[in-house]
Amino acid sequence: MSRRLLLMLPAALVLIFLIVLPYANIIVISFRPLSPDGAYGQGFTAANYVTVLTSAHYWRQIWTTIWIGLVTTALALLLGFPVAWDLARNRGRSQALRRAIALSPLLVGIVVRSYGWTILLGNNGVINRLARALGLTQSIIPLMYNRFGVIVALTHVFLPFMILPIMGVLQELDPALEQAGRSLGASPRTAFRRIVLPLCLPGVQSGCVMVFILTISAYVTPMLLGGMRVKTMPMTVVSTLIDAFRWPLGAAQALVLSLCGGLILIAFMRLTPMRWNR
Amino acid sequence: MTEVVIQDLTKRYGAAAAVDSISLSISEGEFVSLLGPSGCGKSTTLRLVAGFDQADAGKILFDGQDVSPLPPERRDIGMVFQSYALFPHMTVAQNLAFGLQMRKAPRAVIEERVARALDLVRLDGKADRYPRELSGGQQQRVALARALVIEPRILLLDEPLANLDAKLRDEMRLFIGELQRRVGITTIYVTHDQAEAMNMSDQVVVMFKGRIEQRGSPRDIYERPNGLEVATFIGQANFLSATVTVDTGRLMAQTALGTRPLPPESDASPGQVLSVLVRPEALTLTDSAAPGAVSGVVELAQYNGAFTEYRIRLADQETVCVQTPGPARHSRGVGVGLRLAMDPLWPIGSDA
Repeated sequence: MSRRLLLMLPAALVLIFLIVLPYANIIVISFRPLSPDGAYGQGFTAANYVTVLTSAHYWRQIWTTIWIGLVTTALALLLGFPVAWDLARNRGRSQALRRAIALSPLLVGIVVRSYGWTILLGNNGVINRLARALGLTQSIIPLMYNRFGVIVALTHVFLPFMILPIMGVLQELDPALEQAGRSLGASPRTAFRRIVLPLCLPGVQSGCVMVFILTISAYVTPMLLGGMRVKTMPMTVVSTLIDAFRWPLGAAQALVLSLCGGLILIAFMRLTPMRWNR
Repeated sequence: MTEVVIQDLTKRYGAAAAVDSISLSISEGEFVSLLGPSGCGKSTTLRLVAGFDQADAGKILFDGQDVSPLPPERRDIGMVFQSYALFPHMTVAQNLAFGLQMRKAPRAVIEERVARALDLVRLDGKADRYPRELSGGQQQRVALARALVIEPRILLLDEPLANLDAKLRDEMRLFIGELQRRVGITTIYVTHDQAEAMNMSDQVVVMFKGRIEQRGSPRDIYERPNGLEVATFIGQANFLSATVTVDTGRLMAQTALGTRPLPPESDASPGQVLSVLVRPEALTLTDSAAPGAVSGVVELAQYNGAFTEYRIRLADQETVCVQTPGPARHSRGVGVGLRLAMDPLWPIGSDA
């Protein structure tokens, strides 16, 4: 075996055992029939897929999941880009502190962060109480147990995954490029649109892909903030697998969601140029 | 063509003045170098002229019009950056066309002028290449062409040769000098390399610590520096202690290497002790026994190809640096004779 292959072996083994085999296993399970005396029976059947694909109920959930994913990604881009810009461009003494604050959501576990939002957004939470105390309203403002709450929390939780790659490309970008544009007669806005933006597209793209993938597969945050009233596909998958103990159907549900997400990613990659050259 | 006038320009960063009230006027078509060590304020001055930084005080006039309040895009400048700053996502032709598009030039005009500019920098075959497909020297020429194709009022160059290797640097030096004369554009060139400044410029402005130390022709700066700092920054320098005497009504400087006249404009008074500048190539070496020569001992001889550099210790323990053309003819420890072939001697300051 060549030295190069040998060096690749450890990584390859990790990938095969932790990613490829489990995935292959899920695919196999999704074609198994249900069994009364175990997680799944022997033989092959497409029935699980028929159940998922023909059910308007599941399609609604897939659509909810993807809709939340798209909106969260867009919000994270909108909020994350200016932050990434500031962190990459404005040096000075506060830079380290600003970075720490921007990336701090990563320091706290996802469950804790999501619970944090329930404290803020709950019907009896900080914001509602404050609004009542200030006399702004007498009724409850519905901030939670709806898509709004789920999206707010997801955006916060996954924002660092948008900021980091964009910050990376912006840091690599020679500030003289923008200045060259200005010296040639471009306004700040035009220099941004014609020079900075195209050159940081790769970072925007990876940020969007990461946030989208993380969002459509998120479980804890939609569950805590949606309180079973916002049904996303991962929640259904978990309850099918664990509560109903129907592994084959759960596997099929998970794979259909993955497939839909994958198709959207492919479309996204096609629409945005991965690299600025050619 | 444009005349540039800088009046009392000041830029502070915190308490420190990066540019400390400098004034400078540059005539139409002139090539002026801002020369100085890093941190002397030369680049800041250029950025102020370009409009990337706002001055704290002072004015910048292009043909009498104060451009200080204008952003860079409205100053009509052409700038070449140290990193070239070519747009990596655009071809050479697109890089060149950018400035013309910003000026809303019609497509036919853009095509024609881009082709002409590429021709000017001898890159006609490279229009559809991307910058990363070009060599450093070629990228440099694209940067020059991009700055010139918009026919700006002034050309600003910020250490454009710093990233090139020595051989290419010499070549580009000639190229830029020639190009500037052909186009006839008013040019400000920032560099820390004295050879670049001396070769290309009509006028050299030497800056230290945010101030202009001296402004003059390259020859002025080399032969008649107005202080110790300029004299040592530009080329090699020996400073000999001299006593001022008078001979038939002329002020003379009496040094260990002989007595020579001081320049007529000198305001030294007889009996005064001062330093005079002696460049290494103004000294010649002979045999120690040669009549009229001052004797010394070779302490160091370094061969450089075109010339040999010696360090000679004189009888009074002073050392001087001597450059002679060709290979070393005297080895270490050998006694030699020194002759001073320089007239007049340029005083650097009193030895008080």
